[in-house]
Amino acid sequence: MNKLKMIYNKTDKKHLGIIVLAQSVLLILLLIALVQKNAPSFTIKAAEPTFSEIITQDAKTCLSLDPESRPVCARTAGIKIAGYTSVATERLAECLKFRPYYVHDCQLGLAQQ
Amino acid sequence: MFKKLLLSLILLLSAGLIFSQDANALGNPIKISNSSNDVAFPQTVADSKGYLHSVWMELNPGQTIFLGLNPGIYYSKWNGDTWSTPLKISENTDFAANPSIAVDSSDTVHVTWDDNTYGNCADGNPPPCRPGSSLPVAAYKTRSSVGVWSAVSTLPIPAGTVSNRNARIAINSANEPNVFFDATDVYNDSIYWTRFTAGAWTTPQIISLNEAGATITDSQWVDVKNDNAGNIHLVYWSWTQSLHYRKLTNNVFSTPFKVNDSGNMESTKLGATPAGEVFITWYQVYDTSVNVRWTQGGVWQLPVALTTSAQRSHWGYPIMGVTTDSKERAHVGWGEYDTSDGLVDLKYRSFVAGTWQTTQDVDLNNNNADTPFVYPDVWDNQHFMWAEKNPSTNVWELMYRVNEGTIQTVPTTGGTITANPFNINQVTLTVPSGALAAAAQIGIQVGPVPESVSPTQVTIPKAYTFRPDGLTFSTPATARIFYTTAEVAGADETQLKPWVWDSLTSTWTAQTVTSRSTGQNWMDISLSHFSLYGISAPRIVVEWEKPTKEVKKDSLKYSFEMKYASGDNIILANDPQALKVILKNSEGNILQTQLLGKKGVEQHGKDEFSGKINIKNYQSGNYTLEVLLNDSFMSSKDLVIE
Repeated sequence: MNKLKMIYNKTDKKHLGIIVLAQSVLLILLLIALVQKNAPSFTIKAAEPTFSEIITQDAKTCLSLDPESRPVCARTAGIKIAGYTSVATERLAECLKFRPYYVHDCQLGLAQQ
Repeated sequence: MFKKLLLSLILLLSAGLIFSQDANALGNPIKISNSSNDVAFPQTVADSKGYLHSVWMELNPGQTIFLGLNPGIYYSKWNGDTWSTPLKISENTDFAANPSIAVDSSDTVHVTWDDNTYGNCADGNPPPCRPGSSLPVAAYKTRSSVGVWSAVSTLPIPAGTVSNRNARIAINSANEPNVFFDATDVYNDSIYWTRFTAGAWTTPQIISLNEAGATITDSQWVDVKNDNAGNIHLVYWSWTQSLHYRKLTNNVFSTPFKVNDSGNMESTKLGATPAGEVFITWYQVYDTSVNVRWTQGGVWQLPVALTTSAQRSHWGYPIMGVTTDSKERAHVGWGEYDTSDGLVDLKYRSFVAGTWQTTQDVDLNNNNADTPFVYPDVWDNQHFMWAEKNPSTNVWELMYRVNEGTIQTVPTTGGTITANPFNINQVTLTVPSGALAAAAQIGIQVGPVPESVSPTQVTIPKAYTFRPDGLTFSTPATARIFYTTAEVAGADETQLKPWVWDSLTSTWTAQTVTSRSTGQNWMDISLSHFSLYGISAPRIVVEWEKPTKEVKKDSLKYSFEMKYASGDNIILANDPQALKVILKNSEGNILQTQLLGKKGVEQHGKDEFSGKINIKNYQSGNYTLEVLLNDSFMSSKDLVIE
């Protein structure tokens, strides 16, 4: 502690700020290097859609088809949902994206899995 | 491809409901919604005065699935002429959909809808749920007859289930709202029933049973209607056990009746006539047929396929409707794909005097349309609501059109049209020979009055709209308007006159009477053009001075002041019958009648009247004095004879 004191005392007070700034930059660079080495997930890239988002897109696609085709794609979605989660209420929430008329078809898919 | 469907449905259904089988609605389509949101699923009910109350759901532009926050549930009231500015009635912070509406005998409006705002979270956490993880629950709200909305509440989720939805509401004979909904445990769905009584909803009870009494576990949709006797009729459908019908009378359900055997059907709708006959329609998927089964004298008839070329709607909602009218007719409408233009047309068939009429067609070639519904009112008018895609904005807008309760083609030789819903004459229009340059369809809509003529007038609570607009006569037509004695109570019937409504300025303009009969309660007016007419008479105010308390002597003295509410004095005809004072006992029997004149009802000055009635030997008890002006009731005074 005394040595540090001596160093700072010997330094021109006008240059004190520059020294502190340089130390800070070095510390930040060190931290970035550590993070990149130990946490590759920080790499910037497109986020993967969640399963719920996938089913949402499936529902949008399904309900844009002609009415005769909707029961089939809703049931397919039900199978997919059942393969992803075993939580009953979460399954229902996903199947409800096929409201108003095709929830039942999705439920049939749940049972089919 | 569905564009003609909706509009055609409207027209088709409407046409079928009217007297003339080839008649089309003569009113112009009106846009009700006023936002840039998409509209779906309009539901409408008429109250006892004929005012219409409509609710619908709105989606964000381009919102293609039922997920996330949407604009919510909206409401508008038709006052007989115009629709009120849409009002958002849901308070949703999540998805709100599928409204249902009913009105009780007090004209309180009851609304239910599915609302994810208040439901359970799929991950087990308490609301608010993370996006996309909420489950719907049936929400409920009321509007009083004076327009005050209650707070939103929710209906109970049955034990063993996690969510309820697709709620339908009807009113029973005790004036209680009854709600039927699908509740699910995720894998099984049944229809439950609850009613609001003694300030709370009853514990939901499963009512989707089959004929053997076993619970149906794949039933998600129910349709309900109450008849004039307060019975509630319901039909629910199952993918494995087909259609079942039940009737709820005084909180007791009838044994389920299996309406058909096919499990390949959907989009069930139900109608009940004033006499309680039931009409059930459904769409059969495998052969694209629209079928109907109905009762006559309470006996189920064999099913009839009305078409084998039906189409579903964009959202998958029923594109068919079934309505009934006061003449025990039913009308079933559906959409059909038109290969010639790629659009869906609306077709309908009417059931008249025990026979299904031939298929009628209305093809307006209008914009793409969806979710068509049709609703009757208290005067046999049929009101159509549907969503229509505006090609310039791609927004689904809410449209409305009325099909007049009476439509008839009048030839150049003239004719008479009578509007008589429930077989009560309301108005008769007589077109003289030569008045029309060509045969024309003429429609009469009896409806509610947009507003009273003025506070100093008694306005009869009915208006009469003649269509089409712009039709002219070389010789004026005559409209004979009928009214009841009760409707002119408190008014000077001899001064009854017609008024024409100006929709732009919301004002009435007085017209003249060509002839009248106060004895038979009608008045004739000459029509130079078609419009909306109302009738009213000056209101009369009676202020009793005597008797003021219990009558103790043998003589009953009475006196009162009587004049117009405007402050003007009444000029009585020189006829003793012009003014009467009647004494009635507590059972309503007339004991004595005094006429205008000496030793009867004596007039003092311009508005003071008095008289004396001998009540010697009258039993003590409650009695009533009544004042009648030209045989119309003006005022009464209760009294006690000791």
